[in-house]
Amino acid sequence: MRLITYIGLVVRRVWSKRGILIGSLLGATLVTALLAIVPLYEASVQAVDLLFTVRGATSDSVDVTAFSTYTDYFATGADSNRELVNTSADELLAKWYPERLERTQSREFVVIPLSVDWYGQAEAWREALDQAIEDELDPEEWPQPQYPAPPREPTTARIFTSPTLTDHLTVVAGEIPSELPNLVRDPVQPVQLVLGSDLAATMSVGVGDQFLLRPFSGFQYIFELIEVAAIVEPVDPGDKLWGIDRPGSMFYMEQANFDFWMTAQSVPAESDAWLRPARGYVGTTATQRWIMGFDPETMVIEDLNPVRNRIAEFRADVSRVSGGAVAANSFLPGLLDKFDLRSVVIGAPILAILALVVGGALYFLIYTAALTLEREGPEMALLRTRGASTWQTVGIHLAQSLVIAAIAAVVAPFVARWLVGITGRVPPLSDLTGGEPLKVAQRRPLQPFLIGGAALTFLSMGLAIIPFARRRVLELRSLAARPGGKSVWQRYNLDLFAIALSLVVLFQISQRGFINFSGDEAKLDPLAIVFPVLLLFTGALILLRILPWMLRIIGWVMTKSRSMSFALPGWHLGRNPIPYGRLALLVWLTTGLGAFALTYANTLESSFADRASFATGADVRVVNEGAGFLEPPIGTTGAAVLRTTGAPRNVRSRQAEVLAVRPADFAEVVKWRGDFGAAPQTLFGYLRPEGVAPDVGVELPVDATEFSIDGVVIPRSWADQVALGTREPNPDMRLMMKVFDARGQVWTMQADQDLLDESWQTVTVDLSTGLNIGYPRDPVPPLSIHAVWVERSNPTGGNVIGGESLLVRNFRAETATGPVQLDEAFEELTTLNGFGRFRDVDAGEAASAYFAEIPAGESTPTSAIREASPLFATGTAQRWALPGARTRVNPAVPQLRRDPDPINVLLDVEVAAQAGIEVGGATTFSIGGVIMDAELVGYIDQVPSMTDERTSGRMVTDLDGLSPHLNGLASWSYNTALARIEAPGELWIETDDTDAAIRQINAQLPESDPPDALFSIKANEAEVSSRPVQVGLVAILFVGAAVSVVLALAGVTSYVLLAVSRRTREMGVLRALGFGRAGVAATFAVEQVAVLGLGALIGTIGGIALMRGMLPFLQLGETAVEIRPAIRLAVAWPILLLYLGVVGILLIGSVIWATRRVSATRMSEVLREVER
Amino acid sequence: MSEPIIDCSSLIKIHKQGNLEVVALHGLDFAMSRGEFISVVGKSGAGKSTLLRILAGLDVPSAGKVSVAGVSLTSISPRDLTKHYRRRVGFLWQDFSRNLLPYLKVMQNVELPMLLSGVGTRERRRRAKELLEATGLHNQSFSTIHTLSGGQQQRLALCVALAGDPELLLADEPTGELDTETSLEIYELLRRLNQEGLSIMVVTHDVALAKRTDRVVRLADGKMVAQGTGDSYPVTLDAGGAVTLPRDLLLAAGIEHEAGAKLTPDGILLHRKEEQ
Repeated sequence: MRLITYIGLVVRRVWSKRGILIGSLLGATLVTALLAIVPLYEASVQAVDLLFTVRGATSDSVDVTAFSTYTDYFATGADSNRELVNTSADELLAKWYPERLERTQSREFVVIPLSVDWYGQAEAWREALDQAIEDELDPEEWPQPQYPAPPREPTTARIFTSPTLTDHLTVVAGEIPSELPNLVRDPVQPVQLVLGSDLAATMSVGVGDQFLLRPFSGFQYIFELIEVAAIVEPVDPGDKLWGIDRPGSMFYMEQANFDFWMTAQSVPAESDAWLRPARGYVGTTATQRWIMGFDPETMVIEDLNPVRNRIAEFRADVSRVSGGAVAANSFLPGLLDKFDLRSVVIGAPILAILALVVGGALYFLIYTAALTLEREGPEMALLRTRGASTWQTVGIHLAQSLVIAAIAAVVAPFVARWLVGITGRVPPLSDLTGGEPLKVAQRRPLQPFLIGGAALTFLSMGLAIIPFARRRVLELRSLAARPGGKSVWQRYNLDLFAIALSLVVLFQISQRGFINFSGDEAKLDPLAIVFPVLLLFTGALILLRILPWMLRIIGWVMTKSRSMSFALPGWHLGRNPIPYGRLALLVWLTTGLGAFALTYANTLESSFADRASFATGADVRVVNEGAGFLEPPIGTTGAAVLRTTGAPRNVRSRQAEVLAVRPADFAEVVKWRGDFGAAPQTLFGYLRPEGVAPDVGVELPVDATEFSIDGVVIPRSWADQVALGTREPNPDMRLMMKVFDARGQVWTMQADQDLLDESWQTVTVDLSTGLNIGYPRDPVPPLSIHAVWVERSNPTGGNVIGGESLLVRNFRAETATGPVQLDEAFEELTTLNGFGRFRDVDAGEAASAYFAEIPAGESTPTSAIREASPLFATGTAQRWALPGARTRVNPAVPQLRRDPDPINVLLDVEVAAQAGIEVGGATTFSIGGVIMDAELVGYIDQVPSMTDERTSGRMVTDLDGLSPHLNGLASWSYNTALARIEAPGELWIETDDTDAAIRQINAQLPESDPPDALFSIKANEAEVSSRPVQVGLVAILFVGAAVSVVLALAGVTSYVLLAVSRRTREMGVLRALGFGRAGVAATFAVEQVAVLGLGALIGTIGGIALMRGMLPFLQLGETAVEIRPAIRLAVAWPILLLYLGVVGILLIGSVIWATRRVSATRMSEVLREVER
Repeated sequence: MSEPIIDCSSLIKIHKQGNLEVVALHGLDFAMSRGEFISVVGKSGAGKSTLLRILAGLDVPSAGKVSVAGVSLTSISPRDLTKHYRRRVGFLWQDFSRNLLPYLKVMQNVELPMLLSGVGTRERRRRAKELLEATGLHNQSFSTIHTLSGGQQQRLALCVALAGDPELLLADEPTGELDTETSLEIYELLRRLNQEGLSIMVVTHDVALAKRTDRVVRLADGKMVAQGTGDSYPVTLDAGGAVTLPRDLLLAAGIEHEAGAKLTPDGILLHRKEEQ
């Protein structure tokens, strides 16, 4: 009964003090709720992050793929594996992988045009063979080769099939064959094949056209006559069925047809021109692949481990049952591992910040509890005089604390859920949730956190009574009237000890980092969580130490004022500044947390922008083959960039990432941060010390429209020609040129007609176009002829050169004002690969060669006849002599070429040191697989977009200097398949309107061939900054800062109310001395505001300093990889000042509200108080 | 003389205020018998309240001896001090609102000391009712404090002070904030309680009320300078034979600027000067 009475007493007490205890309840609820937030927020943000992660991942990263590679494809094996994969996937993966696709791709097949009469050759071979058999010749004397096998040609493509092939294709022409061929009835029928439209365009074939197709590798006799049955286009080129290949550039067969033709089909040998007893592509290498498409919407946080386990089971299952024939893989487990790691890494700041907020809230609790106790001093004294023992007094307070803690524990889960939910409405998390409350997830029980929170708050409030427990009645009575003195910490200099200890711990943490890796597992260092709290604690102790001195100084300054409203508070502050410590500390905590939150958010935002800029390089970066040649959108600046790898040759262990740029353009568009090094104009300017582009060949006049030469192929003798047949020995030769235009586009151009061995010809090269396909624009003058060569114009089935010699002269450019002679300029071109150049030979040499041998029955022509020959010319010419054959050793065409100059490079210090070169030093480099000399002209540290983790160094060089090295070497134009151009694959754009720039870029590209990648800072920033864990962190900080303002308001109001009641006598005296109400209130307000102002100033500095202190911990990014570029402190001064202004207004408002009592109190009451 | 309930011997109390030491009691020798009703008077700073607080156990003397009901307060343990509060003394502060817990009702306030002392519920309720009836507050038993008048609150405070059935009631200016009529009511109540055996010591500035006690003790500079019965006011003669009388005494006697002195068998009678 007595207990109930006690409880009743406590409850009445709590209820009666609800006004003052509401602050304690608020703080207790907040502390408990914040602890409960840990599991809720962790799970909720992780849930969002997980969804974000799997949604944002490319399908390659999340799909499960299984594959089986056959060196000799056979349908039954493929069927068996299909059944295995389907069964296992249905059983294990169906929940997350509802979509399943299968495709089978062969290795490359070679296209052999029927320009050569292969069937004729086969017939001739059969006849020769029959004849040899009839002649009973020894088999060694039979016709050679054994088969007239079609050679390999450059055009290759794969054969593709899928059980659902027709669902993914649109027929452009013809019809996809669905029936299997009947080789018994019709053994000579061609293989009906479907072509992708791109491939058909490249091969220039249509429905009904025929060609031979043979595997790239395999027996010579395995080839088939193909007939184009249909031309198709993919329904969706982005369909994951196609994989890495371009879907428009393949052969297609329906699955049944594929199975049929990839198996040996017996036919009567006589039915085949080559006497083969079987048809079909026996021994075809093919890969059967299954793609299990991941559905991110099915993934929930609880599936983290199950999905990993099922994938592992699936992999093991298919491998075991198939005897290793089927392998399966998925990057999803790795992605989820990274997600786990990120949760730990990002969890650290979240927990640390939560700890910070909890620490602040705990301080507020203790502060409020102490304030409450001070106000309750007279009541405690009364209880004591009424016979309450020390324990009873303490017990009543503890019971009161218990009631508050219990209420807090009951309310906290709802508050926690509400707070977690509301973060979804707070920017920037609201961007992800669409402004909806964050969906609260829970993976761990809340009870331990609630009990912990309740215990913590109970102790914090309960412990506050300890200093008061043993005080005498009179001391207790005076608590409400007299401010406290020095804290225990300062009285015994414990604060100095604690500060030293904290600094040691902080140093330790800074050395150890906050993530410990044991093996592959990352664990959070528990010390890291208390790191901000330690900082806070240390800061608070330091503040309490120095604050009195600062207040004395401020007080002294204020006393110099003539206004008593300033001078009086100054005196008061200077006389006894110690009691203001708690008030200042509260404001310090509030503004500190606010300043920290805002600075954290801004720093993170700034880092997002920096990271996005660094990853993108410029406002927009287009990556596509030849993207550097695209026209920069109107109103923008563009810079072509070629990205490759390379390194000094003596640095074998490293491959540096290489950017080749045009210095001036690049410096203008690159997003450069001051700490990357010298200004980009200066740094990249080193690549072109003279400021002009390197000389890459014979520069043509700007208005040149054509280039012409006169020439003739030196013929075989008249006698030889008569013997061998017309013109066959010395074929027509085509003049080819490699030309660089002003944009760096490398053009392969050819003359309008061939040089013949019949007469001198003037051949002309049209400079307005070239053979290259895919260039977005025509050649841009001025052009430079970099290389010149000649080759046979129709090389089908044979060599492109055969020891020909030509006479050439009169190199000239046709311009509007007439021809411009270039013979002299051509002298700078040098010979290469066995190209023979003989100057000043007799121009009549061709005629001389022709008439050198006269056929039998013919007479030697007279000189007049000889000079009348079209082969004859007077004067001199150059003779070009070609080697007898192309060699394997040097596949490049024999040519005249401008030797590229050594290039200038910028290297990172580490690579330069490894290569042993310093600025001004030169060495041999290998860049893009080409060896060249280069001089080191400067060092680079970080260059935007150079983030390739596979490389271990950075290099920047001049694009126009590098390009001739990479592209200048002319290669054969065999079958018009031009050598691949190492073109700048990126266009960096500086623009104010990203979207418009992207639209214009897309407009320049065919709709069917969008750019490989299109980066923009805008998109990158959105992607980087929308990581839920990061934005969640900011959101919770903002919520914490907002809550801290509320707590501060409550705390300051309580403090001021107490201070007002304590100093009523003083105010009464002032009133009695003639001070007006407003004057007294102003005096009091000025005093409090001075303390608040100082607290806010220190808090702001402290918050920013805390953020500065945390920077090293944030350098480790979300995936525990160091962030590039390094995070820099970014203080958002306008927002910070706005925040301080709002907080200041609120706090000053609360001070004025609390001091209103001073002005509201009647003089008689004040004087009566004075008399007491 | 019966056994004294209060016995002070050479009692000294020095208050420290920073570096300044103020002697509040200067070797006070004083005793009070059981059942006595005395008032302590004196100027501000004479040591009245200090004496009362020491006797209540709220403060400790710097030197000398003091005992209440035979228990020395000079070196009392915290446990005995609590007993002192519970059993021996009841204390009444001047500010009646500070004698009561505002969040408790009338009855609960009275019951509180007994609750703290461990008195059973039934006994608590009985005793509380008895006290409230004695003070005329039984009709307000379940009223809240703020509905009571000043006099009622002080009567209630008296109930609370007496709830533990103390041997001694100490009251610091119990009527300081009350009007004359209510003050008289309180004194009548105190007198009645005294007649029932309760020893009472009040500190007061009110001469008229002081006269209603059995004995008036006058303190000055921390010493007892005079004492007398309730109808005689103790005064001090200086070396020159001058007497300083309290103004309120003079006003009560209707003496303003001039007075007459007459020798009587008991001493000298100061009276209003007859008008000419």
